[in-house]
Amino acid sequence: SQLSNQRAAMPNIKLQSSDNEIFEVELEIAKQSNTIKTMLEDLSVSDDSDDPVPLPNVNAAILKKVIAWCTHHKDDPPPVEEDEYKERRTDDIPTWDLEFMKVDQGTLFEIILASNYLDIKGLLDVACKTVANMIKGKSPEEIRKTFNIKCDFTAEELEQVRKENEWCEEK
Amino acid sequence: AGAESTRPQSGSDSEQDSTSTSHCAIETLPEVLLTRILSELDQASRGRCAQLSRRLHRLATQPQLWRKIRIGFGTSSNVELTVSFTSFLRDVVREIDGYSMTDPQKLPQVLAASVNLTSLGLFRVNGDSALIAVGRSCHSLQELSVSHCDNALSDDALSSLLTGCPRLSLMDILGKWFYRTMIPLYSLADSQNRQLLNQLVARLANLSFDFYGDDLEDNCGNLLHFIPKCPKLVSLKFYVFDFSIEFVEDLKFCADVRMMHSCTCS
Repeated sequence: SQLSNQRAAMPNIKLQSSDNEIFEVELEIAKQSNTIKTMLEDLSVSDDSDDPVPLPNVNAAILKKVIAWCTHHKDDPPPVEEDEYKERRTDDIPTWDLEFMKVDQGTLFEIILASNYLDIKGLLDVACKTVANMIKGKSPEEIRKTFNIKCDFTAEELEQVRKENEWCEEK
Repeated sequence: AGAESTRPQSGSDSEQDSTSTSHCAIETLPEVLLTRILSELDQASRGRCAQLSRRLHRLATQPQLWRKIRIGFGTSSNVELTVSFTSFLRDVVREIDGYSMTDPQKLPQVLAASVNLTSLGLFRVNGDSALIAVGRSCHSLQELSVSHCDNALSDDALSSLLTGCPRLSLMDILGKWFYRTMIPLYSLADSQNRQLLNQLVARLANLSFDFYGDDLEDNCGNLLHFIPKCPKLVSLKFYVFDFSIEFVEDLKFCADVRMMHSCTCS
């Protein structure tokens, strides 16, 4: 088809991780990152330039994950700006993404940082939803345990915040 | 980039490297990203996050996360109108979903305190006390959705809404309630309620009818013809079992409708 012919002719671009590993990816895949897209426009880097784009905030392991996600999602429609007050759902993560997000917590948070820095809305969304799903349905003590969060409330304060939030429990 | 894989790769060497070297914990995330995660949570989970630590309490209680709340049968027993909760309702909350309240007093009390409310959804909230409270207190209300609420739009409720909510323009009415309540109302030609209803209906921007499972036939047609012209109406939805949409083509009230949906299951 015409579309796949165009894709076959797509130029590649080189991305350089913080630990100096070079990744060659299709330009269209890399441009899912608004940060990279803007960099290329602002710096007027020509598409066939051989200079790698430096990404000092993303290490090779995470960049590899990010590229895998962008490659799988290259044909997705552009993300729509969601209504700020729209009901948020976290049970709509596609199966592939659920598998993709089966990583240790450190990696998950690094994916969040990287997708935020690279400005890849879809990846940031799905990673944040994954964390939200790890929180949902747990008691405060279970959440602290899951994420290794230290409780710095006094017993009195703890009772106060418990009472303060009692109303929002849904049974 | 190689061929597109259908499944994500996991357990590669580099990922394991990142596991062992990563010290990235949830609390090291910037606050804007923690806030983002908190915004993905339901209110119960977000309320539990507010109990984790002082920092997370501060983040999880940010006003922009609590514009919309749910008050339902599970919460009614917990709702206490303390001074701080009353100011929370006044200063932060702009949208309320009320559903299946078993305590008839709690929701009207909550609504009476929510003086800056712009949007209200009622689901299976029977009786008119909630909407009377809305008309008395929620003078900024713009959107109202009433689903499956028996006897919610009484004379008192309608006149309260008409006098108290001048900005009310988007109203969704859904449910058998409509069928059961409106037909008797509209059948009584000189009913005060009918005039009030017409005044309110004339402000509608969205209108949904749920006739699903009902025996429509003549009653439904008569009802729809009773409805006055709604100059602001832009969306009209029908949830019906077996219903021809040509039926509504010559209805006077929806002359300006630009968007019409019918969800039929026949």
